[in-house]
Amino acid sequence: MSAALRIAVSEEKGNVPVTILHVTGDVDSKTYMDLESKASEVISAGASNILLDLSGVNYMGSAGLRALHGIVNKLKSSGGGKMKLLNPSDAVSRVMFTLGFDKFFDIHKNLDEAVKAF
Amino acid sequence: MLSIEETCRFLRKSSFFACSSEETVMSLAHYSETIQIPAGEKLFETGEIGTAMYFVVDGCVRIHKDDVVITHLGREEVFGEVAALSHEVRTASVTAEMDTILLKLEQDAIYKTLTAHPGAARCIIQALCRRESEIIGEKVERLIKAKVMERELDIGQKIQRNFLPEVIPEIEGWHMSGLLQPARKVAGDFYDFFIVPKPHCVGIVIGDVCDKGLGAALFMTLFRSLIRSISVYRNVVETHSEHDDVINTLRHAIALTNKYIASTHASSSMFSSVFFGLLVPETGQLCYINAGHEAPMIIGPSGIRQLLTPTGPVIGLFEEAEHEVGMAEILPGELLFGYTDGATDAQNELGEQFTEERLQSIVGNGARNDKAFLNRMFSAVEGYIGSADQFDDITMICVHRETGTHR
Repeated sequence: MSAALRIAVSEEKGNVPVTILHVTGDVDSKTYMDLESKASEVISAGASNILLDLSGVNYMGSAGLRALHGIVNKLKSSGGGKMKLLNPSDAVSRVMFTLGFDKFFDIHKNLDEAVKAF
Repeated sequence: MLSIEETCRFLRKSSFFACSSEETVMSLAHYSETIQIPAGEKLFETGEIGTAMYFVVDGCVRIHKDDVVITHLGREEVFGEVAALSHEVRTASVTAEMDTILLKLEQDAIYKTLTAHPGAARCIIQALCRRESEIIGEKVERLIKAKVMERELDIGQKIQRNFLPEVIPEIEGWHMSGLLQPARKVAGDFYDFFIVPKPHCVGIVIGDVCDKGLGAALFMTLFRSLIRSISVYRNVVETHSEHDDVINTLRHAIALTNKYIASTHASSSMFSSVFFGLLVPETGQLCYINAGHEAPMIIGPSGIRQLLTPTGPVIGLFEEAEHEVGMAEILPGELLFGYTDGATDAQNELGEQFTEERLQSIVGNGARNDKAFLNRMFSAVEGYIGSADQFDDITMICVHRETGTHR
């Protein structure tokens, strides 16, 4: 049974305003739509720089990785924007590495650095 | 908080008490309680013992079982009457969709009123019968729809089976087999074996489209068909080296498949991990691209001799993705074993995963029959799952080179 997804939103000001989605739980075929809809919500509200804090995610299945790509698509179709990832767990990092996602997403270990990188 | 008069007006609108006498409605209004539940709060859960029924005064509630939403109820609708009028447990959970005001009527109060005003029972019985009849009608309709859907899925399943190789190429000195156990009717996993006429070699494919179910199944047919058709039917610009021709065929098939899906179907965000190898049967040489797939293994007399780890990312998402070509050799007596993560992620009743380590620890060593080997591996995973649910497709392939074949 997958752990339910909780997503808290916060804002940081680096070189540009950055919207941070703090995700907690498992991102799998049952929950990935929650992540997509929360991201759509903040993008519709004007967010164009999104930092996905994955430190609370224990498991990310292929449906979750699909959602990451979906968010990038949504940013593109909403006039452009960037998404970066923060602190994926070892298990999530391993999945991203095996599937080659690490080459296409900026992954940061430190919040300040990640915010400044936008 | 509603006044007695407002509560009476409200109860009158409900089919349960619409035809009750003034005294009955007044008595119920007296016993009823106005409650407020904030958005997101759960009122009760499936299986709980319930003793009250509720009327929605304002707002909206969600009737659900776990994540599955059965319906939404708004103003003037009633719920919880089964548990309130009997000793049955709650048949579903109820959560407020927004800040909601409810009228709550306890079982004791209802029965006290019915004892004092027996005429009210008739109204309640009629309302319950009406509700029951509506539910039966909906059930029948859902059942018919489910049957139609089931039939469509059966047809889809049969058609999808045709996308797996019906006939495995027969090549002297080699034995190949594959198995696919879908988690649902249709699968997102696939495997393939086919002859590439020019340069002469055998295509070996195992892949896993992200997510599962119907969407994954549709894309599985696309990935599988593109890889096969590009490899088999492309006009090869021959170089002087057959080896280079094999490598070019590999690169071309993966690059075009990736580009086509990533550009044409970008909005679907669908991708697949794929291991695609081209085997030259005469030499045992295997050129491969591993696009983000679990590493197939070459198993020899001393166990696992080589893991064919990813040489690039999954295909279908990133147009600019590049893939290296890996080189391996299957020696006489060795076998190539590939699988999808449905095997290693399979969970037992305790929710523990089978794991890659466990899979690698049971592959054994030495020569064996390809089919028997696959059956042994699959049985190990199936036995581990036990009575738990198989939540992902499980696919395995095996390519065995006989001991007697020499270069």
